[in-house]
Amino acid sequence: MTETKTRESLFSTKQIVAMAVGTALYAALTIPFNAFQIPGVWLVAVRPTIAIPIFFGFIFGPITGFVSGFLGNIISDGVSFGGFFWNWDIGNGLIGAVPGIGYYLVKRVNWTKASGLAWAVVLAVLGSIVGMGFAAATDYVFQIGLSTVEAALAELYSAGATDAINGAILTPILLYAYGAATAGRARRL
Amino acid sequence: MIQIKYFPGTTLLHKLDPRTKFLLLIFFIFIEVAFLDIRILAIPFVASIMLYLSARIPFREVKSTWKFLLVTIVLIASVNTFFTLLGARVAQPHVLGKFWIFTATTEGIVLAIAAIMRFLCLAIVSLSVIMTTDPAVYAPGLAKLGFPYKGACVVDLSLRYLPTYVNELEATMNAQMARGYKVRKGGGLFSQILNTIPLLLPVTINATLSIYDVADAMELRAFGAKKARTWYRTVQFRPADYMALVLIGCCLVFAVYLRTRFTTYWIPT
Repeated sequence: MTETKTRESLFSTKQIVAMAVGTALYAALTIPFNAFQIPGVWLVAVRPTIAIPIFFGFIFGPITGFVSGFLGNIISDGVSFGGFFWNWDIGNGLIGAVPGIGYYLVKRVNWTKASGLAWAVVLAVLGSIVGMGFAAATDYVFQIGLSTVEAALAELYSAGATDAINGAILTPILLYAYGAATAGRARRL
Repeated sequence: MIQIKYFPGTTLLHKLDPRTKFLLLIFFIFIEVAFLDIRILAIPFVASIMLYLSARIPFREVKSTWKFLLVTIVLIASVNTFFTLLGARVAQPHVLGKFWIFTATTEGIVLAIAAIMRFLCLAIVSLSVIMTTDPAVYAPGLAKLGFPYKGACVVDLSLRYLPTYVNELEATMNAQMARGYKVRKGGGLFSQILNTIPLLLPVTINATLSIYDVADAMELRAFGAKKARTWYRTVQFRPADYMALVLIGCCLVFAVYLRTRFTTYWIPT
């Protein structure tokens, strides 16, 4: 399961472009979905696009996943409803960073196999829990709109669960499609 | 479809240095985070509209963007105000009337107005900055602010690609609709997620595959060969930038003073 060849730098030209593309994709595709608000939780929307930073984290590593989620969330929130919430931006970054574990654990040839797809599901769920857990916890600790532990847990359940479901369904599909599209192309690793 | 791109122009906002505009944006974010009182929020709200109008962005081209933003912001503010029951923080809310399952209170309406003003103000300023700043000067601007050049390039490329992917999403949606795809609004969470696949999948995979070509093109031009680099376009503060910075500084001092006086929501009695 462990990769044998040496990994490239996490700040190579390919990674820099991947960060930019991941950020722009997440921001551009999230803007229309920001209107799908979850009732009962302040400014939390159903976002199928959360699969984008998860996918980028899995394919390109934790730094690229983090930047895609973090910067993408800042841009999409800023231009779609004028919001800026630093802890939710970091939370979205963590959702992309945690699946970066897959970058180290899963070989490229296994992406389209059951084991690779299962890792993608597990890491998408784990990333959603960690990311939204961070956002809900900091909302409570810094009293950003939440004053009780129950409210923070409700926020974690609703935001974390929808992100986990979105990520768990869409990330393996993206991974499988990408694996199929790049099969036989040595450059696209 | 929404348009989030640069519109060339010769107005004062177009001519300002990108660093001045970044600071202006940060200043507005500070104001919107610091105040809850709608009497105070009205000041940056009006200022943001004046700022936007001064940029003379062609309304016909951004009409759909504003329509989308207004609907989204009003919807978000309304949904959140009614469902999160912020008015419940007030011990004895002033009930204005009951409609179906909702209870309209003075506090709830004031909170909704405050939320709409805050969101709209930042959206106006963010879009004003993006629509009046040439994407070619983002990276030099950020580099002069002390960002590492690779970080500056990430921001630069992201903002360049943003309108591209918005258009790509629209083109993909039109192509899929021509094949019989329909945007379903009903159904459960699973069917809604599955319904997004025909849009998300082609756009994401195409964009991801293009990464390698762009990276190759950049490396052929020696990107990353040295630890530091120079920029083809340079940015420089002009007298207007210095005046804008002094104005932002004065407004910031005044805002900090106001923050000590107006600390919470204002509810009309």
